[in-house]
Amino acid sequence: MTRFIDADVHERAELEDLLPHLDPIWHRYITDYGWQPERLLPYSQPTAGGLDRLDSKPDGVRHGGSDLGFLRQQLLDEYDVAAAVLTGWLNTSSLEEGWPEFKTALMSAYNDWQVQEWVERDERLFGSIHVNTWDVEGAVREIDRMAAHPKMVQVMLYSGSEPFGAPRFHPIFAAAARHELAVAIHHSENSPTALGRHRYFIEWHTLVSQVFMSQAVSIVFNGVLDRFEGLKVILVEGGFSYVPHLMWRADQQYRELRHEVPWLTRMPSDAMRAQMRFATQPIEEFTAPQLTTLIEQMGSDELVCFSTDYPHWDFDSPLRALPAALSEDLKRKIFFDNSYDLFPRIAAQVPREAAAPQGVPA
Amino acid sequence: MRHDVCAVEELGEGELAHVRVGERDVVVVRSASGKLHAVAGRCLHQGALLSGGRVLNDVEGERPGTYRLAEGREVLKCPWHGYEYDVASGCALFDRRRRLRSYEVAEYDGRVVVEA
Repeated sequence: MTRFIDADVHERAELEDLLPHLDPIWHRYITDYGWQPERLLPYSQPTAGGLDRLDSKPDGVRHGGSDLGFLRQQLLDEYDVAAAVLTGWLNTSSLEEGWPEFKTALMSAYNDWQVQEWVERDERLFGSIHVNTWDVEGAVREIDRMAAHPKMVQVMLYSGSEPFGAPRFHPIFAAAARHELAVAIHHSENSPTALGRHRYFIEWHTLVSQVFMSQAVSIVFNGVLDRFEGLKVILVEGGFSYVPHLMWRADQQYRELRHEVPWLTRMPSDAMRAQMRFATQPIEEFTAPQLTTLIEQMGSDELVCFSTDYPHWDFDSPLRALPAALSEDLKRKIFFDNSYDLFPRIAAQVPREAAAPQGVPA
Repeated sequence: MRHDVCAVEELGEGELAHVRVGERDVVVVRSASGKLHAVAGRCLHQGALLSGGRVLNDVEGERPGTYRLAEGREVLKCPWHGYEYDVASGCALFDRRRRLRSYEVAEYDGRVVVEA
């Protein structure tokens, strides 16, 4: 099969791992006062292994994604991954407002830990710049600082309940565009549905796509894509089957209500096709005709980027997640080309020929 | 043909074992009652090895908010997405038309063996 670029791989830290990278002024809040990121999800994942694939836990106990050697064995080597984008564990953008200076410092520590322990230890691993959206000025400083590392390929925002298209967040998108970094918006356990959190995990998880529809709508109608023309935004861990509906709906509203958003210069779906990308996981069970039709309805086969979400419980296998009968051309785009074109820093360091299986010409 | 799995004492109640039967993966389950079952060892969804999963009691409930352990009805739960299969029939609990192939399994001379 085509080798692939994985747009969503979660490395995992313990808070104590970050201490060597964190200004000592903050240490006591972790070591002595027990700060923990809040988890607003009122249920656990009723799966075999909780958050993680049961078989992804090193020694059967530690968190999946906490051991580079095991991740290499179970993901990078097992599936002959050409490149993988690390998407993290801790991102304070999805936490509640408050204590922004601590959270900004924590994001800096996390980024330095990620580079030292992961990005620089395997050539296939690329990084995300985690920022704290509650401190936009600090977030921009962090982007400017971390963009100097050539293997950091995107700015990472975890979604809580804030739509990120609002003008106060625009300096973050500006900084990403300035450094030719994509902006990734990733789901989190702190995102509600449109009607709160419902009674059951199965309800909440079915409705994950609502969060991404909200973020996409916010970004499009607040003019982020028009204002920063070179910017690319990738929505991660929400799947992509909602996209045709969203495009049709947004276009129709624009025809009817355009005067409310006069700063837009294009039909919403045109802006999305030009600048928005969608990671595949968690993918539904599709037949090849269903998936092909869905892609046709999106109006472009360049929008969808393969992702596994390793090591989480709803990991999508590159061997089985896409229907076998899908055309080779479309598989190649989803598995490799679309991410390759999205991340210029990966393209600068991984030859396009890497898409071919080892020893086979592309 | 017999395919050796493990020693009888190596497979406790609620435990799983993997064995290759020709080109196929098979998972052997010892239920809570001690009975052995063997079904195809890869999940019908994305091919995860089911021997890395769990054996759990099924749960039943007639109305929202009611939960009751279904004693004696054990399910094999995939380690990835959690697809659940009846350990005896191999049928997926969400759709009984989707089924893991069943195999004969027995204890023989102190060993657990699959016959295929």
